[in-house]
Amino acid sequence: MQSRESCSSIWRNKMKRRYRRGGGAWHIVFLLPSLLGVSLFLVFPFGDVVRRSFTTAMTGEFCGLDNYINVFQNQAFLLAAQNTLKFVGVCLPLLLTGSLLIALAMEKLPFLEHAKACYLLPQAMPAATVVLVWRLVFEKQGFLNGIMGTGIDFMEGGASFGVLVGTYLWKNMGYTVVLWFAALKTVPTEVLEAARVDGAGRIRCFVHVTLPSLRGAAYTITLLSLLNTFKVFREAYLINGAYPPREIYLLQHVFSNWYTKLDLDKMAAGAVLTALVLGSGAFLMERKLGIASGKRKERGK
Amino acid sequence: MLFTKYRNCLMKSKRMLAAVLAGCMFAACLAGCGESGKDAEVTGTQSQNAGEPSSEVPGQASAMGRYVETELSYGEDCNMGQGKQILPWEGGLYLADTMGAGVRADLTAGTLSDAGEICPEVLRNRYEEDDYLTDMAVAENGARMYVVFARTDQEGEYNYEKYYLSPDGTETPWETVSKENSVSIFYGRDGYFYLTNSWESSNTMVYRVNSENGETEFLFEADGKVRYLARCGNCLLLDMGDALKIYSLDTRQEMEEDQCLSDLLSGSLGQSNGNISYVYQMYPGEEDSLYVVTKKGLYRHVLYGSVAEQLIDASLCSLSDNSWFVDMHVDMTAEEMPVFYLLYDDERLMKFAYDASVPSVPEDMITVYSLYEDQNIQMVISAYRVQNPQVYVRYEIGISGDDGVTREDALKNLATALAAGEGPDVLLLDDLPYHSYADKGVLLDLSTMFEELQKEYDYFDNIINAMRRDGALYTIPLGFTVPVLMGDTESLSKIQNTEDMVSAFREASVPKGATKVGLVDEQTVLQTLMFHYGSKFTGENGSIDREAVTGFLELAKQIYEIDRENLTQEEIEEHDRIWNRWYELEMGSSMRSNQMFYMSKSADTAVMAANMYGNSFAIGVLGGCIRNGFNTLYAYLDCRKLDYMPFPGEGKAALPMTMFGINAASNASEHAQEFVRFALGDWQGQDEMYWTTPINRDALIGMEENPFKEEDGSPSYKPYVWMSNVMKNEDGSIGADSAIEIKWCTPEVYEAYNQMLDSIDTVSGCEYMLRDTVLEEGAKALTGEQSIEESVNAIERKLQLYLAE
Repeated sequence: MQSRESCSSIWRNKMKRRYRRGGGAWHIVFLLPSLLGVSLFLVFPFGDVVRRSFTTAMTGEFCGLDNYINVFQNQAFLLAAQNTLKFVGVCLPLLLTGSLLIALAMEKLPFLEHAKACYLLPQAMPAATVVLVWRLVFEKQGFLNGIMGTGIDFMEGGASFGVLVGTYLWKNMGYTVVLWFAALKTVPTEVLEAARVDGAGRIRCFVHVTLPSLRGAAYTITLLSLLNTFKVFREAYLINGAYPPREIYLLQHVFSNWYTKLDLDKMAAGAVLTALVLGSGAFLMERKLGIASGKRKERGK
Repeated sequence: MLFTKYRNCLMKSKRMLAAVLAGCMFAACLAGCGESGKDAEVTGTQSQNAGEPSSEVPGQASAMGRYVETELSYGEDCNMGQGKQILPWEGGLYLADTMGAGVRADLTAGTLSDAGEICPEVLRNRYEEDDYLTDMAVAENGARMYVVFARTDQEGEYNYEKYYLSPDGTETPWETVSKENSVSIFYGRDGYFYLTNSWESSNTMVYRVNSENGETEFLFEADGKVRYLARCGNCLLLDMGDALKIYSLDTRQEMEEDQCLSDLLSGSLGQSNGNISYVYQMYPGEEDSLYVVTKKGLYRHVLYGSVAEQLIDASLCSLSDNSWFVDMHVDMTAEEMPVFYLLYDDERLMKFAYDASVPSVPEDMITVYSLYEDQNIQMVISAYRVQNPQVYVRYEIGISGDDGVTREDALKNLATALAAGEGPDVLLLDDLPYHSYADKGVLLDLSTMFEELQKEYDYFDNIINAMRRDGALYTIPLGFTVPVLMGDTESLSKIQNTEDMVSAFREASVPKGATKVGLVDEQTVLQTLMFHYGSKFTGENGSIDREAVTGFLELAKQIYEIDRENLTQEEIEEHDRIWNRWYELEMGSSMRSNQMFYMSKSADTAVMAANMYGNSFAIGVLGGCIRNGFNTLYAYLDCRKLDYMPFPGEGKAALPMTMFGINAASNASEHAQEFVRFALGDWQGQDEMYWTTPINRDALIGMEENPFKEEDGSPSYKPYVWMSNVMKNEDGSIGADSAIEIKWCTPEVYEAYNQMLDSIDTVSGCEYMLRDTVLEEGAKALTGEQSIEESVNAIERKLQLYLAE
């Protein structure tokens, strides 16, 4: 009992010291507006979504886990979740490795590094324009079929998945390359030089020096790329509308359609499940990449 | 010491500054989250009614005083012809029609009676001789000017004879403009008739005729064609279609533009219905002022003033409905505020009088929502406003066509409003995901309300019961239409099922270049047949019934091919070109609604086209008014000895139209129910709906009653309207235009019609997603782009996700 009291007094003293060191209550006052904003527009609405996931859509009656059971039994949701996971599973490795390799190759070419604005150009292109061009290229009567002399409708069936992956990679590759450029600049040159002096080749330097140094940045880049995979819905929606081919029917499609049909209960349950999966993924990634690199840094100090 | 003091002082001021900054940020944050205000809320919606009161919100009224409208009722056997003008007459009003007769209004009693005695003998004689007057105007002293469309000595040739009729009844030909050309006549309410002649050249000659002595004066030549003319002070206001021009009567020269007046009339100029009725009217007020009525409201404006004062808000009365304005009269002798009289093209005469005891805006409000514009509901709202001035009815259209709102956007907007508990009170469920709304508890069960209505009226229970869902009644339609097949009596009598129908189509002989059924293109074939067979596409568990869809596409393909077999490729292409142009350009997005498609496929239009093109059969939808709809259809059928029948096959289907649903979470549920009761009850007996048969059987029977009587009081079956009829000759050439007589049908004809309506046992009309998918993929099967099986697979694949959700 005594030890518990002494522990809490130590903690209180620690907090007091931190409080004084940090300039009193002012930092809390300055934090308040953004905290209010986040609470108002994120925390409270999400709390409401969690509440709604246990109630009926319009009458608001408590229904226990019915909505979650309905969602797990819903074939459309299961298909969308499967497609979304597949899309993330294909796109993320392709984007991260592809962009890193490009960044490494370009790093040594200073004139290309100055053309960063060009890398970001796809990001600046309006989705509607991209979709129009994609249609001209990939439709049954499009350029691609004209060149190949085939009659494949790339916008339908399995090929549409490839088109969507291509769209994602095209749009995000340049942006991710720029992020890798910035990350590569943080690799300590003295350590690299020391490794080279010790006889390490280019590959050994990359594996044992560069890659470990990029782990912190990799966490951020992976997280941003993961979030960007959800933004590809705009293109998918503009190409095929609310009901695209089965292969590119994503979670956003099902949420959007549920909303139109006022299936707010299922939508809330689905959103909570998605948030849980995403949150867990981000947490695990942070443990593996972010915190690990932080610890490494501390150990280094 | 000094340093410590200075440091403390600095720290203190920094803290103060920090406190102030934090306070400001906090206040800004709170301000940003505040309510946007009711004004923004009102203007931010897609209300059909412009000019809503912005300062005062319906339901929260505080100020008192508003114009209240009343409709003057017609007496027995009192009918108005083609209305033209309202004039003050012997303490009351005289509503003149273009034939020179009309009705007179007793303003004390608020009734309208026949004004036969006002009509001069000269005009009575002309009426008896079946002379046709194309235009006429009357002055307060009884003088008239009119145009007679008269037959010449040459066979089939006509000319326009213009006359001035003096106050003492002497008719004098007015020959300033040659007989080959007509004129438009306006009365300036200053003792002068103003005549415009746009026929001889692209410009317009404007003349003035003194009503006292008939003296004519040429005023000026206006640049362009004049659609409407009004006087204000010493100026003439001319609607040139794209601009309002003002001419001085003193200098006879064009004056500068009145910007405020032009803005007020923007969008209204040039819109006239045969130069008889308009979407606006102007009336000269005191000195240089004038009263202007538009679809947004009634305004007072002083010429070249910078403001237009709104006296009546159109969204609170009948001004915003579909009717056109024939004429306006302003009684400026009233003590406080002028009294307005408005004559509509549907013969209604409305009186607008200021009442200081009613709130400036109604205390109660209900919102009616439809995805697409619905003309029937506009008529209901207009009538309801007149009878219930204390309730403000707001009409919201999801896809107005004026903006880029898509179907998905509109549905999401509606879902947001419903989820937030601020949804519309009355929902028109046509083209909305009605089943989903019913399952979610959005809609109120109307069973109790309907039981109450049944105590007063007889309804088509067969149709209403077919709309029940698990015993509950979430929607009641305002009316319905029935898809029918028309053809010669003998052929129809042999049709028992779809195979017989296809055989009959195949065996039919038609003139060269004619189609068998008159559908021709794949979209029309599918959509027309879908109205009958569409209800069978989904099975009991909600999945796609492959067999039903396959059977439907096979039937559609057979009909499509039979229909075209007599046409050359050029004729098909010409038809497709005309149809596609009309479909895409004229109808636009609103074509997606069932109601608009029906307009193009009404049975009378279909059989008229069948006569013209020589088709053996015609397919159309039967519904709408009796006087101008069913009787017309029957006359066109009768002239070729044709008959009609419901589609063969299992079940007799009707398509419900203007489906009412009430929001279960509505705060104004009582008013919403009252509104629906009004629409399904009293109102149905008064007005005839667009392309829709009333769900109220009593109303239909009332409409079927013959209003025309012989002298002995027995029903008259003499023709009451003549319509043009063109028939195709056997050699494929188009025959001469002849007149067809529209008569009131005999009770036996109506009896057969009513029996057919009673035999309906199912409601058609599938969900929009199903309809659009079948249309898209089915069309490919019809044109041969893919096989029927491939189309069915594609439909199933596309709808799998929709149904799985």
